[in-house]
Amino acid sequence: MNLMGLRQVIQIAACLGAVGICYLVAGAVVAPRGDVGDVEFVFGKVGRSDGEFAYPRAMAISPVDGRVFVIDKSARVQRFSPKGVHEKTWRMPEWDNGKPTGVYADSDGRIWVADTHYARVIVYDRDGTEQFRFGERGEGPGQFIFPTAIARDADGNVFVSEYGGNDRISKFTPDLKYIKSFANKDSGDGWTDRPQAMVLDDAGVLWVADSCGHRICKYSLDGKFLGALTPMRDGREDALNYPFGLAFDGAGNLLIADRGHSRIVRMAKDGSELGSWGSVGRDVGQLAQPWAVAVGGNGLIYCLDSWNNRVEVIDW
Amino acid sequence: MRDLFTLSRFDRPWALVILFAIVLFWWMSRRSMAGLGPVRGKMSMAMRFVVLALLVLALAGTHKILRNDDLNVMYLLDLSRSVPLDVRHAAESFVVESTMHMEDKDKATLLTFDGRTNIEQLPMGKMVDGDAIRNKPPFPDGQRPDQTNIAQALRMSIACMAPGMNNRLVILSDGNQNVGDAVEEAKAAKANNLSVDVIPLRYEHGAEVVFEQLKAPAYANLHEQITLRPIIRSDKDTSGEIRIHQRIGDESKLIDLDPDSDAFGQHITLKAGRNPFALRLPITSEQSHEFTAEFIPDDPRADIISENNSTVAYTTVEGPPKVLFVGKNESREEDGLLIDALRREHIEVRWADAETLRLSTAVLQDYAAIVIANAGADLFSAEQQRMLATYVRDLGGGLVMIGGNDSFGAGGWQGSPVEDVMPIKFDVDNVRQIPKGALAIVMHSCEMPNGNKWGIETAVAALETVSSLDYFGVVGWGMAGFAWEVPLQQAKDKDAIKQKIRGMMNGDMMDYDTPMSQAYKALMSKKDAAQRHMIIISDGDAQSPSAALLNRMKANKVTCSTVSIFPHGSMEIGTLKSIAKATGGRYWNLSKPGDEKQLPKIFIKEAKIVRRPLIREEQFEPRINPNNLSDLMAGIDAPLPQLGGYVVTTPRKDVPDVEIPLLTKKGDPLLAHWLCGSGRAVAFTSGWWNHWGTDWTEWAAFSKLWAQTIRWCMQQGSAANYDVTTVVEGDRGHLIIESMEEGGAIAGFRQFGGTLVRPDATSVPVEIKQTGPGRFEAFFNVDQRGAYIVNVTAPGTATQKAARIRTGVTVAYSPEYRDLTINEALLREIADETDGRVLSPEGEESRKAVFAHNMPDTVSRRPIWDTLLKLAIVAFLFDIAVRRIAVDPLKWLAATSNYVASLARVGRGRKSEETLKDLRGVRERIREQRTSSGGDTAERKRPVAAPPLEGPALDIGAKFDAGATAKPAKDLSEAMGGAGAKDVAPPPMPAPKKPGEEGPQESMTARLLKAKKRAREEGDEKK
Repeated sequence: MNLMGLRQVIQIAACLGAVGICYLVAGAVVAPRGDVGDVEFVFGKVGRSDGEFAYPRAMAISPVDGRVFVIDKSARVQRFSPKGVHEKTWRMPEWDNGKPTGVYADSDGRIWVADTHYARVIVYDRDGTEQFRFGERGEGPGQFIFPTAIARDADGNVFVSEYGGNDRISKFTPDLKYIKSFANKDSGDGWTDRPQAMVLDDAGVLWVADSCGHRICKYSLDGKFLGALTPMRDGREDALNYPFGLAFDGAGNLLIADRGHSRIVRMAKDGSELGSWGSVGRDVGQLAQPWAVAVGGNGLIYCLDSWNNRVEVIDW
Repeated sequence: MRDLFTLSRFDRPWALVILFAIVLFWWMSRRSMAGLGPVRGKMSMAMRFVVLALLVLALAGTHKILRNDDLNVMYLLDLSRSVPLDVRHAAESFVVESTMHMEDKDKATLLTFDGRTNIEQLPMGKMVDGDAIRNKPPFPDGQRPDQTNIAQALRMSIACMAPGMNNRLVILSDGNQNVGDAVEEAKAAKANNLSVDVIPLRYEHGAEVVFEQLKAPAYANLHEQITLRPIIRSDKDTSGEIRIHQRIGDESKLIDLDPDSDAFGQHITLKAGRNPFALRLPITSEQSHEFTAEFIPDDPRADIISENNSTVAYTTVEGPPKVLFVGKNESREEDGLLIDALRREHIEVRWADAETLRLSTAVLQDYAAIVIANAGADLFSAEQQRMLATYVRDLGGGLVMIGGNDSFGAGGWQGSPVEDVMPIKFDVDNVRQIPKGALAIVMHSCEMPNGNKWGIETAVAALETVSSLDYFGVVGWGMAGFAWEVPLQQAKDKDAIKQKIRGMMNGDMMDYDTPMSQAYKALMSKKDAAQRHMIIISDGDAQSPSAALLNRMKANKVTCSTVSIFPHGSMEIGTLKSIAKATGGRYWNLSKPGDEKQLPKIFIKEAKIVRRPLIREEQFEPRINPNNLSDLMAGIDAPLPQLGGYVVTTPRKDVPDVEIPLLTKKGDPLLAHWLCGSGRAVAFTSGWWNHWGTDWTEWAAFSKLWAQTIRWCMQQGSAANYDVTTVVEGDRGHLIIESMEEGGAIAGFRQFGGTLVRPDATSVPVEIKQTGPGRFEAFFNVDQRGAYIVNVTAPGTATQKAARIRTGVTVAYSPEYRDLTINEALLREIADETDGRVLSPEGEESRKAVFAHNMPDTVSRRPIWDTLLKLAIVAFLFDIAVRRIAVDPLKWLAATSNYVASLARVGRGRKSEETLKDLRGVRERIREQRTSSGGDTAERKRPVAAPPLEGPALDIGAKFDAGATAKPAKDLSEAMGGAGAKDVAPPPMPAPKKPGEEGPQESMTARLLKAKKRAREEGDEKK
């Protein structure tokens, strides 16, 4: 390349660089944002109509068809297509005491709702027809105080986490007979302080968001504590701050809805942090107190942006 | 929404004059563009014009014009008592169902009203579940269902108009307004381009009996026979029983009107229309008599609404003045020491337990003075506190507050209405060095409806009760996690703190441990705090704190009270209870709507914990103020017996009327009094006789001092020589005073002043006019249920004594039950005034009509200065690019075509070696051309990248490629090579030449080629 061409290229690059710097500086000064470019689409806004949310606190994606189920503080369960198009709404049978904070979609197409303030789990088909319910208030075996999350292993055994004094995970047979409880105060290092989310990996390890312990714990399917990813309350600024949602991405890494920091954290199974997405704020690309995270069949990550009353779907 | 861009709307059109500067700009810039060549020069100039024009347009405040037919329907739903519940539910359904017809961009806003207007839903989409209006209690607390104020609802809806949309009001009401003027407000709505559709809520009550009036004499004497005159209105002929209940003080009984039968009532027959009756009754006590008359129909079908079947009247009984002494049950014996002393001085005193006393304006009328002895503010409701203040200020009563460990600031009275009428302030001066209290509040969100609102009001109530010296802070869970919403600080600027609290976003915190730890650390950091207290406000579903934290708090005497607001269930209560128990605090449970009324009392009790330092327990001899001229101290001389303690208070500053005849050893007020409004108030900051004042109760002048104090306080004047009548006529009260001279002659001219005290203890002046010889009348609105007291005063004259008349009426039932038919005419008038429609509450057509897009488009303006500025920045960057980058279109075209060709060749399998050979060939050919033609020809064929000019000023590249001769640009225009360049020293410019005389200016490349050529020639010569 002759000197003339080189000079032009340098000048063009310099101009483009200047424009880029101006854009970045303006962006940083005017409105700090997250990585907007990762956001594929957003659905939901504040309101009580179909497709609108009043402080959504639970979300699950069906492994069968990728449909998204969201429950908000109006005690409505709303079903959306993977593209975020509203399809169906139904309401919990009661809500005077409080509203659900957990939902799980199983491989049979059923929706398990942790009806937190009624100490029970209600199971619906995907159209909102109740299939069955179980659980009652109490501290005894198989009873609940505030159930928060549900998971099922490959054999169909059911795990229910709860808080409010019990702070434990109870395991049930596929026909809902109580087997045992673990992750409670008798579990030594494995006790959880408000377990808020659970997810199972392919290796049969149960991962639990120990929200008030600010860590992720792992257990074998028979309840043995296998370790924790983040040291409890270690005081680091970048440590997890009330992890409330858990999911696995396509590469088998954990996605954590870090509610206190308003971000999604990607973490390898060995605990090394692989990055985070989002910052606290109202703009697209930002999050405000995300309660849940889930991965769709399309590989996209669905973030339940609770205080912003929306779901941000990102390719990250 | 359709956008219409026009330049005809500017905020500052005068700024467009600057556009003429473009001509000047062009003239000044043309020389600096000379070196850019014709195309780039013109482009650069054009870009500059664009930048300038955009900046001028931004400066001129250009607006984008938006045309819009999106609709915001504002429903105004009448929730007053006159609308039967089934009719209201039908109206609610109408609202919900009509929103199903809205288009995507339409919005629905919901306001409900009775005497007060509430915004139930801001502009939103369809009301799918109708939560905004359904599932509400019929008449929620805080509302005024006894009134209908359509005017206020219209006013509020004008304020709620959605900008940039068509706004339509839809009123669903029976039109029975009894407050305000809706038609006037409708005119204001029209002025705001609002059309008001009305949907009359029609109903039919059938037969109805209304107890219209009960007349009783305002004053009577003991054993006098008085006449009660009930007036009952009936739609049809019917019959039934009339009963009279008589209340004297706290005792109520049913009067036997028919001693000859078993029944207590008297059987009467009603004709259609108004039916007056007369009943004779004896006055049996020297206290005020309250009469409640009710009608019970024989046939229940003859009367649908039972609420309007009774009414109330009062008769005040003249007698010697009495004093009400209010204390606590546990200190009744102690209070007896002072009461006995007063009785020895012939003052009639009645003792009452503050906790069980039913204080009302009617009760207060019986007493010339009230004494509150060491009773905390938590024993009095907010309404009773207001009533006490009104009693002094507006009704001319006397109030005496006597101290103790539960009085003044230490009794939670600070910030109360009672403090306002007392002669001293209960707060402590900033300069005083007394131990402080520290209060930290932990706020958690409450999931139930209005839970967060009450949480915030609770925190505000707590703030009200601390002194300006005390520390106060609020920890909450916000968007970025736990944070001090109000950092722990001295509560000097309460208004600013309140504003912060009210702006809080109450998050759903996960555990109590983290915020409590923060609050604990902050409380412990305040070393000068004598009391450290924490309050948790929560719905109870967060995680328990650690035992270690609770133990640390207990060890360091940090108490924690917990308030559960609408908790989810029993488990949550357990957590909050255990926190309070572990730290020595108290647990409060507000579990259902209505319980929030306890909040003020709760926080007075909580504040008393923080405010204990105000109690000063030390022996001292009271000092008589040397400037004392007080009547209270007449005949009382030093030395006074010792007292064992008092409550610290502060004299009122800049109020000359306050007298402080007695002081403590440290100069704090001990006895103070003043005239407040038309009444009098006294404060004695010691007391608690068995603890602090045993020497005083044995003091010979004890009864004298207190008798003088109480007598000074008692109200003056009498109602003798006046015949007073007060009745309710429709929605007005009517006061008639007939005045007589001594001896019975008709009085001449007198000037009366009057104050009306309403049921909510607010007061308004009443204008009393003379309407005849010795006859005076006044009218006042009675738009709420409850007792209305009129306090009338008149100065004494040569022939008449000073007068003080207290009289009143009671509105026994809501004015909503008086007008029992729909006022459709008013609704139609509202619609006519605003070009609105009268829609039917039934039928699908009406539901569709609500969201009909038949209104003219709304035109709104939106400023676009920010967009213009962004475009200006882009144009500016483009201008720089044009001037700094010389693009040879031919060369780039050739290069592009070569590249495409090479790709094609590669595609055909040509080797790269051949490509390189081609390129070398091209280079050689160019070199030969330049060598043979001296380079000028070749240079003439293409524009150059940089001007070959000498000197710094017009060397545009100097800014970036600073050479030996370059110097920094002085300003932007200089840097740009723009108009400002003229001001610097002119460069040595080559003489202008005609086009064609000389080729384009040489580029650096050309100069390099020349130099190379020269070097080669020199080399050849050497050879």
